[in-house]
Amino acid sequence: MKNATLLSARDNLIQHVHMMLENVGGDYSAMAVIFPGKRPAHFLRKAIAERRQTASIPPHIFSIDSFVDYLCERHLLLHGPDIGELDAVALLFSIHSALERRLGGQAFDTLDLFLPLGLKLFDALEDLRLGLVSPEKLRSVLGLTRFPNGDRLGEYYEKFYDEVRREGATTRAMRYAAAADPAAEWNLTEFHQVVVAGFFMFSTAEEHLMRRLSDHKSATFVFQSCRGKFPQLHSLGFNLERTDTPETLPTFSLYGAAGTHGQIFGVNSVLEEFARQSAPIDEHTVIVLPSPDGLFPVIQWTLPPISPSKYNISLGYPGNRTPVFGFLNTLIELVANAVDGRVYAPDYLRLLAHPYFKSIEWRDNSGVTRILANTVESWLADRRGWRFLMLDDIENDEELHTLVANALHDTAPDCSATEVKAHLAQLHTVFIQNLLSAATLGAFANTLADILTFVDVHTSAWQHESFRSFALAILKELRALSTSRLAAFSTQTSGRYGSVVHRCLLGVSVPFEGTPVEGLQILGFLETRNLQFDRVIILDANDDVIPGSADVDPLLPPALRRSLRLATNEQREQISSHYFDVLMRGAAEVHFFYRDDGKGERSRFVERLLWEHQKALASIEEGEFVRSVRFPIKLGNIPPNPIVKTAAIFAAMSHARYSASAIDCYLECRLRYYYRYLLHLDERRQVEDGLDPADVGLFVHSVLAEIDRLSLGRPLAPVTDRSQEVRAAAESVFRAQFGASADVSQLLLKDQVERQVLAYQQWYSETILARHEVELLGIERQLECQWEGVAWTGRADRIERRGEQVVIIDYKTAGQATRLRFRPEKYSADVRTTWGEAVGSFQLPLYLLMFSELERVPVESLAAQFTILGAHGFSAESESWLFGGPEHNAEQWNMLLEILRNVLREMLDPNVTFAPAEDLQHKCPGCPFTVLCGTTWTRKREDWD
Amino acid sequence: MQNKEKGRIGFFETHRGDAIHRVLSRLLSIDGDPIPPIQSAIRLEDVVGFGNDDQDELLRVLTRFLSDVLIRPFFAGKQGRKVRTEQEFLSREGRLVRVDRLLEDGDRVTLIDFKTGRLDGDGKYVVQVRDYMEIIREMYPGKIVRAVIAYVDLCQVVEVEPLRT
Repeated sequence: MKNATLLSARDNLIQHVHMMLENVGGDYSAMAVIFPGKRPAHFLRKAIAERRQTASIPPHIFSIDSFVDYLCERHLLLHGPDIGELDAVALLFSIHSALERRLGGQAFDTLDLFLPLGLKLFDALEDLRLGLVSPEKLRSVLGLTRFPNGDRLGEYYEKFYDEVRREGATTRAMRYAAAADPAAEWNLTEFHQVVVAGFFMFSTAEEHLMRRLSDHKSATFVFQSCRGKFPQLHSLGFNLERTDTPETLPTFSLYGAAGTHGQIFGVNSVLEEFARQSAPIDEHTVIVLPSPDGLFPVIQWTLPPISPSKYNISLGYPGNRTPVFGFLNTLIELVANAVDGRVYAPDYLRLLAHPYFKSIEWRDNSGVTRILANTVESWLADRRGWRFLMLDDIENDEELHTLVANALHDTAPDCSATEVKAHLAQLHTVFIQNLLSAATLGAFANTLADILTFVDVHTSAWQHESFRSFALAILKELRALSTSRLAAFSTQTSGRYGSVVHRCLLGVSVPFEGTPVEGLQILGFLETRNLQFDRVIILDANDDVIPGSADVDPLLPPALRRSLRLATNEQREQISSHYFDVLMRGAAEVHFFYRDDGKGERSRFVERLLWEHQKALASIEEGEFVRSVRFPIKLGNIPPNPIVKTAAIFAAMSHARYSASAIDCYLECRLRYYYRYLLHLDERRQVEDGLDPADVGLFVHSVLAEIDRLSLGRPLAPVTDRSQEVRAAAESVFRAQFGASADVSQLLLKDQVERQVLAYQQWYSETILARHEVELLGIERQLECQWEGVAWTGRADRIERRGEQVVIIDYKTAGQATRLRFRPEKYSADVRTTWGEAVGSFQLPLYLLMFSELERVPVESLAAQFTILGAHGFSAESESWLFGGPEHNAEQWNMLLEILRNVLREMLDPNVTFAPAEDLQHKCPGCPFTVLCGTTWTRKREDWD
Repeated sequence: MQNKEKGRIGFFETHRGDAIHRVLSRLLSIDGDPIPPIQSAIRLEDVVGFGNDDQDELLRVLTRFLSDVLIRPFFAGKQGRKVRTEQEFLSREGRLVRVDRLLEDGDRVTLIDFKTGRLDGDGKYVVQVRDYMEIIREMYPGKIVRAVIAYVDLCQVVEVEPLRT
């Protein structure tokens, strides 16, 4: 029976192993140490150097994976290529395609659809292989179960490994199985001493390997347990010799915080406390990040005061959270949404707006592409209806190139319109056309790699400290993909290449590796295995992170795993629990941080430790251990300050031309008026997903104007069917506004507008034209006048003579105009807020005023109305008259003029400031200037949680 | 846009450099035609991201390098010569360094550091190799330690003088 040492959690495994190694004058090369993972090697080497104080040759330090590889290469001569995940999926796909009875039936018959299943399948097959499950055993166990995929899984299992063997290749699990084979010919005579240290639970293959190792006369084993628990050791037949170091509980504190930044705030306080106590923040202190969420907050908020040589980060960061992945994903989506070589405008604009794209240099000038991108963006904003773009159209639009060249006048005077065109064409080729024309998955992956290299060479992205590590990890995966068996996959739809690449990149982990054993350690949870620290700070100590939620494995469900003696979720949790306990009990001081935002529980491991403390103290009180991290936050909202009317502003206002929209805006909020009409700030117009209400309004107005254009200045007669006219007008306006490549929502809009305009024309003909003699006097008529010493301007949608009366019409595409209606009963001259409430909108009153002044006709002979086009069906209510009906109302008219004079007087009063609206909660939501005012906290009611 | 040198992050250079180092580490001694052992070493190396074209280029570059009269002595089989490749050493401070090739010939130890690409412009390779030399001298007290930088693409050998003797 082999002897083995069982350390307590308080013993330092690394120091113990180090003391076991025989000192042979600094040359440890005839010794081997095998740990479960890679990280302890750094600490063991450091321990050797500290002891020797001179140069030395370190022992061979293996992780179990590298030890198996070593055995396979050196002793078993398994030199065949390693079948990685990608090649395995390709192989499985060919097996899958050749099977009559396939997993998932016909649902996974193309590579992109098969990929997620293939990755899971490969994992499952490797688990079976690691469990040394023979095909016969699998068949027999599956025969006893009612597992629906059972017999099919067995077929994949046999065929896959037969095929890999036939090719002379191996997989990780095959190498484990080969090394674990009792008949395998290997020995470790090249090593005088072999130390196997720090293992806890073994897969079947590892168990066999341990048995083989235990036969090796120079091999010694060191294990570590917490509270003497070690389920598999006795079955391995070790004669355990325990150290007598007593286990003690560390002092520990629990900190609940609302989120990651709250936890970081708390971590910083703990580190400050260490500094106050003069406790060194060195390699004996670790910040454990079980979730990568905390990494960048720690880098940004905790590490800056510490010199980079005084800390080390070692953990994998998910590649899909990096900006490099985000950029490539922008391209992948662009390609996926492209139709027949036309790219979706919002995708194109997203690419243009990306910092990597914008900063591409033109002759070492980094400003050119930025200005080019901004100009193209504005140019497209004026063509918002263009949903799908032909890149050729942009590359051949000379007007655009001249526009860009003019905008570059100061930044790059030597960049002519011709140069702009060439630059734009090259950018399109590199970033879009090459991807769209990729003939295979491999070519697509290679093109993405080329794009990344292009960004690296032609932008300043490389100066970002993490860009290199992010890009290297992703480039490596792209190159692996382009040389894998998957590379030959070919399809007519290049978007499907994108989905395969996207899925592959999701598995990328970016290594953060620093000076391994210098200074404060920032490690993932797995990276702490076998290491001991005096002070442990652990973030995200929540149950959904440690141990985390159990994987659902549809291919190898728990019962089947148990029958086949494969690792189960319970065993995985046991392993996590073991390493957690050893880490905690090996420390003198532990600080747990957890989210107490009500969305997660504290980790069960932490609860258990707390319970140990409570038992020791014979008290169930938590208060002694639990603290809260709270920020001193003032939650009050500050209303914006008014802006004073300076002399310059006053002068500008005195000479301004006023419109109904300006007066309405002023009454709504004086600050908004100031920004919009005096500073001329406006929302940036851009191409967006979905239909913009302004586009809908413009389209409807333009269609109506187009229909009426030929009737201008002529009496109108009833027409029974105007459908041809309406369709032709809609078609012509639609092409002008939305271009040749409309999307479905735009086509639906056209259809809807056609029907509604036709219904309106029908009603108008049957109701208005049948009863009145009507003459069309104007369409989109510009109105201007001087009144009260001020210039006024506006544009009326339609002016017609109905019988003896002139009617001014403003079309509204909404379903009602309640908010715009004049309500004289609301008006009180002394209460300013009632002015706007009473008028609703100054549009109709000002049209009447301007027309009357311009044409020198009495206002009594005029009428004004909103025609409501958005309602279901048309009736008399579709015409919403200013005074309730077509008749003039002198009293109400005078009231309107009084209000208008009041407003004008206030506007031109130099002492009246531009104050915010009184009711911010209702006036601010939807206003484009909330960021300037600091009122973004006001939200529309429907946005409230 | 002007053409510039290859990417600043040097993915391809790093990748190629790694592959060359890995292949060279498998070559303990070459006394005849270098092509068969190089081919065998390339085959044994499962280099991710290297297609057939890249492997052909690797073979071409390494054949030229290992056929060069300046390089051949470092790969010649010699009586009593001990060859270590990719040998790890620990500095007294616990720093791990990996020496590409170390030859022990009686009382002489030769350290060879392979470099791909261009000549050392700013002297950083020399600083690095001198650091290695110091560690080797501590490990082999009393022996004569020689260090060279061997440029694979250029087939050049640069002697590195120690800081102190």
